[in-house]
Amino acid sequence: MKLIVSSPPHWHSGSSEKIINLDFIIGLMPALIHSLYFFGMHAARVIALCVAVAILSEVVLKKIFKNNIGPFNGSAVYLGILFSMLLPPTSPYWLVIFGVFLSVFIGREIFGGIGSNPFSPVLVGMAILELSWPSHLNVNLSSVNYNLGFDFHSPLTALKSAGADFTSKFSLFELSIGNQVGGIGSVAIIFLFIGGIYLLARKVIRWEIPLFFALGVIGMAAIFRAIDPHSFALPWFHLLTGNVMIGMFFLSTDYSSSPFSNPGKIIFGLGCGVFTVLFRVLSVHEDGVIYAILIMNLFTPMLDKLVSGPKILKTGYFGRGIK
Amino acid sequence: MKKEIKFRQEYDEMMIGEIVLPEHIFLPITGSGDIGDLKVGDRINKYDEIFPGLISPVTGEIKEHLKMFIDGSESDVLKIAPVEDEGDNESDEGSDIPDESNEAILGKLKKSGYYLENIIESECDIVVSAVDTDPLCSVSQQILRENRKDLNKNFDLFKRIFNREKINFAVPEHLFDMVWKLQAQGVNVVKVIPDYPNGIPEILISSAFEKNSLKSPLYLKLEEFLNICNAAVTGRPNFKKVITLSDVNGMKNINVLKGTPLDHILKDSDIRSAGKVITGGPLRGSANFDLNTPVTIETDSVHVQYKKDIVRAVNDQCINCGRCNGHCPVNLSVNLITRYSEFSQFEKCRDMGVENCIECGLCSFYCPAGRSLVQLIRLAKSEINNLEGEIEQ
Ligand code: SF4
Ligand code: SF4
Repeated sequence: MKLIVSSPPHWHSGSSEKIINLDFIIGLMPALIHSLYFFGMHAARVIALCVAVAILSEVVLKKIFKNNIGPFNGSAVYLGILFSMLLPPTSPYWLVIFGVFLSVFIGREIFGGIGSNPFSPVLVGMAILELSWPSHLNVNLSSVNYNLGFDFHSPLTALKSAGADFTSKFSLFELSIGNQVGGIGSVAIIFLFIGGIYLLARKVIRWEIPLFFALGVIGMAAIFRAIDPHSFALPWFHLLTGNVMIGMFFLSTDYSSSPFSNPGKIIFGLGCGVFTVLFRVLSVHEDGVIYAILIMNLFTPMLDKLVSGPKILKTGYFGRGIK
Repeated sequence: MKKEIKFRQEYDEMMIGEIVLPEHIFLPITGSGDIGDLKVGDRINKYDEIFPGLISPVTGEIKEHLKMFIDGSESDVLKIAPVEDEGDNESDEGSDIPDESNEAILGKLKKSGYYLENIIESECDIVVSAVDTDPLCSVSQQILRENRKDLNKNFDLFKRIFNREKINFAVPEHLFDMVWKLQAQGVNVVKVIPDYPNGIPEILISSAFEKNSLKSPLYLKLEEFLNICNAAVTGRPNFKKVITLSDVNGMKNINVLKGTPLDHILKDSDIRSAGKVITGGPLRGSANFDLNTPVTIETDSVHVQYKKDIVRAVNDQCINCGRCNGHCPVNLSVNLITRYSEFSQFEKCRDMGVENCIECGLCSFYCPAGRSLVQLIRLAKSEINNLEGEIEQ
């Protein structure tokens, strides 16, 4: 009998990066289907382009960087879909290509690939696009070609330009089922929420970041609301608009750019929420989720120092067993 | 997930089967390796004292004196061909607590190979554990079930021999009902959730007995405890050892002679095409390269994997998912430690407390990248040891 030897452990849970990425993609499916239903071929075009460019850039860049660690495991597909969810349906193709390529290149591969990126790759690409071509990402302009049967003013634009009193015409129900203007997938609030619950149930992500992200948004918005109810919107309004929902479950939970320690995760999530509202209220930008998460990504190495340290086991044994 | 993977160590009552006497047994010679006048070809009798502390478990002829790897280190071994066991009459000496003096009992224990003076004199707290250490092992549970009636007698005897006010006793939660009455007689019974890795001695003593702040604890498996009690009554050691044999199809408990080679156990259960034979549990145990390796008191479980079930290392890039940290019972930052270890920064590993790792294997088990985390940790530990050795010199 020929025996095989190896060092322990001799079991493995069977989880793999492929399965994790597949789970992330499944988590985005409800929102993706919603976007196809709403925007039809326009959305399909953007999504397909994003995925294709993401895969292509990953293959090419891995060749160039001679990085053959981490073979194809679906992470590019996930990156592509996630990126497309943030774009308006009318995004010109060059913008999409450029954005996705930058996400893969500057967001990830330049740092050594999956697991090494200090920032969430999707957000790096998005932030560059938003700072360079804000007009092309203006969801209000891009939506004038549609007749969606509801007010197609982005709720956040309304808040910025007309103050909180104006926001009362958006019903929370309409907002949560996705009847608002925004990125093709990021507006599908309830569908993103379902996907997020799926991720939590599959233990792909942990609950700390999403929960404290939401608490951060609600808490900060409540403080502003208490100061002046006429100029600052309700906490629920903040929670159900813009990129908050997709940020909570999908953008901020990117493994390598978020802390792994549990106290770190709590502070990270809280920080994301607080900065989101601060950006919305105090800056010229309508939505601050992208910048809020990028800022908190900066703190990740520091937050990882918050681990409680090893549990020191009792030492000084008299012995184990009697020989 | 393969169906065999199960961390819950809660099993129904199972029969403990017997197997036939093996052709050869391998008797490890602990200590000096000095066997006096004995030489190859000599005949020894059951209960003969080979040297103080080593009693021959069979009557038979010494075939060979060789070296073998047992429980991770090389030791001297006698290969003995036993003749048919004429059966012993252990049971007819009553199992009541003997009224003899302590000297007489100690004499009996010595005759059985137990030299316990230093334990009796020391102040150490004694922990008896009926919690199995490995997944897919139900040895301690079965022994607890079989001996539940005699436990109170045995604890009394044990306390008398060791001159202790209190003995600590860890039992799995689901069997607590059987033994809670022992608390009335000075046994500190503690419930433990029977999930891997709660039964590992270091974890057990640190977590289950956290409140008791034990002084230099001595850990005893229930089986060893009962063997000592039995020897104190009968003056004879127990040469048998209960093991759990498991593979994908199931598990069973068998009572074998200590020193029985694994080969014999597999043949007896008709396992012919094993790929890996693991002693000590699938998460911490070692894969044996030699099927002559004998069963010792440490061997609680023998796990067989067939070729198609064997896990292969993948070793992808770490994606920083944090699963390893989340499952580590001692709360190490495994992902950072292993990356430092990968790039030979062993000092950093030490600063992060790598020596606290008990090598439970859970981090590797859960890692989606299939990284060899435990191997990297072992590398770091041994390198740190080497470094410290150099500094001392
Ligand atoms: S083997 Fe892994 S999980 Fe277990 S104690 Fe060591 S580092 Fe922690
Ligand atoms: S489980 Fe594996 S992939 Fe995840 S952080 Fe730990 S080492 Fe990295």
